[in-house]
Amino acid sequence: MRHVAIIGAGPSGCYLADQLVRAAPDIEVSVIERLPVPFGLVRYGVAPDHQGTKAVARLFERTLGAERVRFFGHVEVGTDLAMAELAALYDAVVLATGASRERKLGIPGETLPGVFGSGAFVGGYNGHPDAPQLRLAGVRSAVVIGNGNVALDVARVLAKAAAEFAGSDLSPVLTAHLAQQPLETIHVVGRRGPAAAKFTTEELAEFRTLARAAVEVADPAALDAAGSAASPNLEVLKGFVANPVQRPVVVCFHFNQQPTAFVGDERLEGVEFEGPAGARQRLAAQLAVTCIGYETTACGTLVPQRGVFANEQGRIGEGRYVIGWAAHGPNGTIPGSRVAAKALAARMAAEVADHQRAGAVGLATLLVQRGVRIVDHGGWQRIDAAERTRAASDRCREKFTSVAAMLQVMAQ
Amino acid sequence: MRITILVGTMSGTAEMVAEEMEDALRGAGHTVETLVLDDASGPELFTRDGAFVLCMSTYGSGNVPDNVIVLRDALEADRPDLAQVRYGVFALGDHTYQDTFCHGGESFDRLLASLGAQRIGPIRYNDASSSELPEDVGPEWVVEWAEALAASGEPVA
Repeated sequence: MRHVAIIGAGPSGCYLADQLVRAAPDIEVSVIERLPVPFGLVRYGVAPDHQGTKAVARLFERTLGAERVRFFGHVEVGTDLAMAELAALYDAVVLATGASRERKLGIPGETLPGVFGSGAFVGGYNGHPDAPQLRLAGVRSAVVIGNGNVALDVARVLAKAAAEFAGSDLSPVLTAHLAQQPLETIHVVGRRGPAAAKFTTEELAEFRTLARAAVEVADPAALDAAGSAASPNLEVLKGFVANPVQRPVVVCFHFNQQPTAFVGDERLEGVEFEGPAGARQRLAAQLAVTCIGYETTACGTLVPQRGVFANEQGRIGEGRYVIGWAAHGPNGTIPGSRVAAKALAARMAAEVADHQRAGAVGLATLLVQRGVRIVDHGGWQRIDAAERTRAASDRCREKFTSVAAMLQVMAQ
Repeated sequence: MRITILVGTMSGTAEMVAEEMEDALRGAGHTVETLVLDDASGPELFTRDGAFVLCMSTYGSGNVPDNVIVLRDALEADRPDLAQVRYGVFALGDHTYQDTFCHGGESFDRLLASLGAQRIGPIRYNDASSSELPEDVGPEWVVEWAEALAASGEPVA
């Protein structure tokens, strides 16, 4: 048997595990995850009201339960064991660690209370154990900086009425907290023009369906100025302008606005921008969320450069591979990572050599010796079942938001 | 009956559903093969014996999945006579994107119909945002579909 360790149980790691066991009958895979729970971005990135997108987790669930796949949850490479120790147990090690560190704008006022990075805010509404509890205060106006799908998710979660979260896994406590905000306006601000926006068109069009929010464009003329390069997003934006509706909350899209400072005495009071030809404006805001991308972080002794691990078609070096956002940065869709997994699995099936390594059995022995509390696939299934069981009737799940609470379920 | 399941998938969900359908059909005594479409899939695959089940998701702005594009384009260009072909459709979509819900399966159904193929029964829709799991309802549906297929007799062509 050839033994492959995949670090990270997000979409890339799970797709790769599936494709590896399909590609070669003599490959066994260990999927190693820092948290007690798998699925990474599917659980903690995809918005709680996009359960259709999260449904891919059922596929990953089958993979983790497959015959030649083993899940090692609550195991951190670099803490519980060294990268070199892991490498000595497997014929190949794959980094599928994603890109979890949010990029910062690096402008004045970014540490003011009321300013969030997307990691903290998205992690907060998705109940990530590392994210601080979201505590907002008197948010009448929110500014979301960024022109990608994370910005749309944040704006939509803010814009929805409480009833629109039925069937989601947004916690009822947080739903009530959001509903208490006297929200009137959500500004979604892009640094570039509307044609350059990276929104997925369907997710932009989804704003038409919101119950309490109307969409406006701050400078509709900019849509025509950009019109030479026809883009589906432009058409959707023009549709919003052409068909105005009256709703209690306004989502206002701004383009070509460079943020220059977050301002406020003790808390955030506004965000300053510089537009075309140096025109300055200040948008009042009690909440700002920067959604300007993510970068990958070090894994044990392996250190990324410019936010990714340098690689050649997924290969870092002898017996070392990388896939997904850790390999190419935070772009691309969940289904797209399946295509990449297929390609890397084919390559690995052809070139990974059998060194008679100990694989999962060796890893389990080492970790047990060290007293590491491994959450295996059965353990995750118990956490999963407990989260579903304790959910309110209009929620599909109530996540445990701390590692301790997850491990508690294991102890019961 | 001899049945070929044609899979159009982006995330792999439709492939998982097709694998369950294959087991269920085999359990009901049918001869089944599952084909995950790829760029080598040409219109000649419709000359196979037996009937076809399309198990197909929707991607992007209501498109067929990427692995179906080459076959779709070839069918549109060659326009073969598919009058002898009988088929059923299990269409996967997400009603969060209601404007394009299941358009992948629907558009491929329209294409086959325009080439003379005969659909047995209505399209079976599945919404990823509902509580109905495609891997549960797909196998149930396909066995009933195969019964309707048997009851429909031989193709008229």
